[in-house]
Amino acid sequence: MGNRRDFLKTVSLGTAIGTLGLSSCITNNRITKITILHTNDVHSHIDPFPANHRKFPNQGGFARRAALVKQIRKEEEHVLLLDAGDIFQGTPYFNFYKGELEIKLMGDMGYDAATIGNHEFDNGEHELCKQISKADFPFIITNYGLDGNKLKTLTHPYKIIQKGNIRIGIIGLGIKLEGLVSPNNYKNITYNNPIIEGEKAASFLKEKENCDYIIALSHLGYDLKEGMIRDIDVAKNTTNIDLILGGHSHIFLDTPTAIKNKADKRVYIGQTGWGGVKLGRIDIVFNGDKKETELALQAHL
Amino acid sequence: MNKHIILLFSIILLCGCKQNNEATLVSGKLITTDHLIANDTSMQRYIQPYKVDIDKKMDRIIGHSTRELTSYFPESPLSNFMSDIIQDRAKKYLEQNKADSLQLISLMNIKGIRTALPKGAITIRHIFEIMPFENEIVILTLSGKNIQKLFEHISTTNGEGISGATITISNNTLSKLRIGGKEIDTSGNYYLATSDYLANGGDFFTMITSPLHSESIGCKIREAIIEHIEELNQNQQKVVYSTDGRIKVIK
Repeated sequence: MGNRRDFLKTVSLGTAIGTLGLSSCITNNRITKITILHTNDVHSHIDPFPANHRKFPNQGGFARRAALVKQIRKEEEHVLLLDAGDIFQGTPYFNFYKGELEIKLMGDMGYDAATIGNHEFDNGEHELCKQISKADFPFIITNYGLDGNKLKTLTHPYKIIQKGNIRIGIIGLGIKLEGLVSPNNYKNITYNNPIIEGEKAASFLKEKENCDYIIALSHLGYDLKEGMIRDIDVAKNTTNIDLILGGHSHIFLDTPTAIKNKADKRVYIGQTGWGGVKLGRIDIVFNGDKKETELALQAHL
Repeated sequence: MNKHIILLFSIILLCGCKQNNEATLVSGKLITTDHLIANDTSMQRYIQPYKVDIDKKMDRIIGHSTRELTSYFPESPLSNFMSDIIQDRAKKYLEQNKADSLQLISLMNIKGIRTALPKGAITIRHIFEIMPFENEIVILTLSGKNIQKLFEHISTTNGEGISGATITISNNTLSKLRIGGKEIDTSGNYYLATSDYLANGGDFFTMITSPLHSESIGCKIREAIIEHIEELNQNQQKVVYSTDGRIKVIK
């Protein structure tokens, strides 16, 4: 009996303080919705796939994606547009114009950031530097050691984007280039462990830079491969990364994959296949009513 | 005790307030960019001159194929077709340079073949799609031991595009190897024609990255394919290709 009375007291006290506390929290934090649009492995597919294409008939194309993004920007206040690498290689546009058209159009479309995929090195490091220096958007790479490399000054280890009252930290995780890229095409790039470097940057962004949310643009590939660190490994073994927008494995994730991270918190992984036939869209609500957002989630996922 | 509880709750709540904004993913999906979405006209206008230029170069018909050639492990019509073209081109080069003293084999990595060759008219564009990379053909001189290792490696990865040799793979190991119909001479040397990408360490073919000699023949793989199909076309021939059992897999 005594126990029950104590319990009731505790509950009522807790509720009182909770209500007080909650109301003060709400006044500090208003609800913000961020719409994240993403692509990966577009591979120079400027035009839609031909009408007789077996898998993607008349799908994709930069001018369509531009229209779609424009429309979403009209409807939503806070939109991010991101790419997870392998912008280059795959159509004659790249063979003849060396990526300048891809970079120009992505700038025009208002990409906020991209990371570097292995095919970005296909014309060599020098040519990649030339293209990056023309870009209207930042290239982010967190886990490559770039001492003595021109890419060090042309790329960023992370980037912070403010949307309303929300600070979003963006990091870039690059794949091990050995075996994928001809050694002549890259010099003075060391691949560092993306779990360690990713976590280091993400915790710095959250703790020191006050970021609310960390997005990793990753070209590591989605799932398990022996001897390789991939998106699922990064998700499981970190605590500060919230969302991984992946690439390289050309997987179509119709809905983002939820993974429990090291702190038992849900992390999501998205990937949009390849060739620009799909645009990934992820909506995040900050400080929304828990029940409501969870219901919305169930309806969507 | 109550004081303690109040303190505890206050700390928790204070921390809760001080913490970052709470995020919830409410929806995630893929939107197909299909014909229902109209082009952004100003972007399309910007692309147009590039497109006209590319189309002019790409839409030229160079030949015909009797059926679709696809590429897959362990052995496929398209990987055979491409490795045979490399073999043919390297052989011609060696003969012209009177250097055809060693047995020649060729290697084309299946992962480097990016799509299928369609049935019917073949344009330059199709070849760019199959082989978008600017890889050049190189001829490596390798010891018999390294050639043996190469085929052992190919057995663990369940096949590749090969020419000039036949192999049998059982349980991912090499159980039989014939080069030009003969057993391998592990004390001798061989020529291997392949792409500079693989020769330089692409795809982890580590046994070929330190050859006794290496020579670039000054021809891109894509150029070799285009010229081969054009030659067939000039002789009123179509591309006819299938698997021929050069890689056998026993389970």
